[in-house]
Amino acid sequence: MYGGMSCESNNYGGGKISLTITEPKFKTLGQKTKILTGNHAAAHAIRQAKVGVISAYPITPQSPVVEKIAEFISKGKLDAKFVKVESEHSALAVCCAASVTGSRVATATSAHGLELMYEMLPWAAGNRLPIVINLATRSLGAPWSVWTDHSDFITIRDVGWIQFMCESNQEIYDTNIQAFKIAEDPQVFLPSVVAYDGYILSHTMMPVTLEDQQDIDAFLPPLKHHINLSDISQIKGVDPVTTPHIRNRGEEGTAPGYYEYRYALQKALENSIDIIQQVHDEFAQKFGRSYGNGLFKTEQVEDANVIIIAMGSVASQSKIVVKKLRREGLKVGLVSLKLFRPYPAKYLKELLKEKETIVVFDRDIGYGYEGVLCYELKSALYGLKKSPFIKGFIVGLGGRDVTNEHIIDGVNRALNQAKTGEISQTTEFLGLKLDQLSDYDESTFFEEVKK
Amino acid sequence: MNASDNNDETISLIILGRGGQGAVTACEILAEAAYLSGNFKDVHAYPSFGAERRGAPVQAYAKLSRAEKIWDRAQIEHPDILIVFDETVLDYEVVSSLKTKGTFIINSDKEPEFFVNQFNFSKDVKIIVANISNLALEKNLTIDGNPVINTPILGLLSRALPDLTLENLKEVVFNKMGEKVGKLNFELIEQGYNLAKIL
Repeated sequence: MYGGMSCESNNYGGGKISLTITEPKFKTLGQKTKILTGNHAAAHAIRQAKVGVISAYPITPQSPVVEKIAEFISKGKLDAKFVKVESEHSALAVCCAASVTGSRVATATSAHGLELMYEMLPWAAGNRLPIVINLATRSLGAPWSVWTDHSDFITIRDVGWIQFMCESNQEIYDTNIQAFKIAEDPQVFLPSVVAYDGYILSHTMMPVTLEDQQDIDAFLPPLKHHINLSDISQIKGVDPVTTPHIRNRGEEGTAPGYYEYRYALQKALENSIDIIQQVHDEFAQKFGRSYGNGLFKTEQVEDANVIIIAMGSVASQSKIVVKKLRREGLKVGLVSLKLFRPYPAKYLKELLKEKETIVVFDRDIGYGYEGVLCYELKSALYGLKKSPFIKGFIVGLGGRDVTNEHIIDGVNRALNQAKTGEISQTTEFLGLKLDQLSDYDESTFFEEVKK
Repeated sequence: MNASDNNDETISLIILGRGGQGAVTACEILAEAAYLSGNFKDVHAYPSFGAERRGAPVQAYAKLSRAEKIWDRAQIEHPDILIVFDETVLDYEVVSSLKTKGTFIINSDKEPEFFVNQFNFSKDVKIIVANISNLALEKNLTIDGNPVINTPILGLLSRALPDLTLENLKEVVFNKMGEKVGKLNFELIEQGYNLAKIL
């Protein structure tokens, strides 16, 4: 039986809501700080997690992750099998196959690499394989762009993976170490994605503390997989065709139908929120670094009546804006979403239930509707007695610089719309430079641009 | 407004070089040295985002913060310090983006006054010049016959940022390059430091 089926005995849904964010109080263990890119921070975490199998295909801006891992293996710093493949689809197929042998498995990708993996993503989730993907986020073509936005990250939100977004290279390292432990928890057994903005973090060097191997080993013991095909006597097979109904298997008892398996997947994701917080807190105690409550990070939310919500690079930039606007007397706060799936809806609802205005900045868009963070937040806050005014903006697609001015402009526009009650229903993009196009004419632009 | 307005203690820096000259490595070394000095709480070093071609003009960037963690993720609009590997990569748009009290560092055989006239710098801009190419050629520190600029020019930076000391640079250079090559590079850093013409 897959690990996930045991979830039914758990007390899901009734978990305590803890919004207290504690400052690390514990002295850090033996530290070694290096100046590393985000990609190399990820590679070091994968090395220290003692991953057994890596399979990957190069893609900008992720490639340095797997190049560094290949270097670790060639220099004997990581005892792992690197399986070279001809595509990302094969990379994740190899990862799935390796994972069912009981091995700890990782890969990394970006943009269309993730989209090419897409077909395998639900298999990994359904089989409850604790694979960790590092995603250096990158926009989706066309037109061709290698620069960051979160379009790739949001496309996989409905397939059953845990999804983290990071804001610094240290957070990439720390989240990777935690991601393995979370993914491999017997109550979870789910694959996870650790994402970070391409170039902005992937290629920027920052101080990163790499913990001592013995401390990482103590925190992250070897994987005890729920499935281990290396012992063929124990397992009869993986992924037989699973019927819509419960099957009676005689002496072996009953087998779940597809519906029961998928129910278990959903429950495992819901339950994982508690584990994610536990692992985060344990990490914070041991290593002295914490990231909000493990689900989201907050800045000056308590007394704020205006809240900015963003993810990754946009949230980082917003920290500066919060300081600036506070100096001007505006009671503004920030929520930086760290956990995107499972979506921490009830925690956000509790945190934001009395706020007046919420401004959401999406470095992504659900084409044909609006920014994904925005409409998910609206959904999460549904049913509040007094609903806040929620306004979303699109920023920074395809690597367009996101500046303080853009964020301040968004806050001001939202406050203005809240005050006048004139809510714009169109999706507003901040930082567009249509006026700099030499012969921009709105009446013809949309005809011409598609050619 | 610019990136470093976000925090008065953050110093932003742009290097102008050519692909293959090691502008990114220079940023990496200076960021490491700054961090090592203990005078900076946080440092960032990064390349131009996207593809770089050997021989084409490139930029590399660094942000150094004395007091706080750096959360600014925007590009540098107005650098505090501009380091130019040679006159052929001078980009008027970037030079004119230098802060009014910024520092302009260039590898050149010309006098600092030449650049004041060329760019109409205000009196508040500090100009630091040394003929790094010549020093490198004299010491035979070359790659494919071209003088190595990226490490030696950091000696001039130390004149602009006294809390980024020669000792800090020495440690990083030796760590990165090993004793033999590190020593050669560091001698040039010291020479540049001593020979710098400052206005």
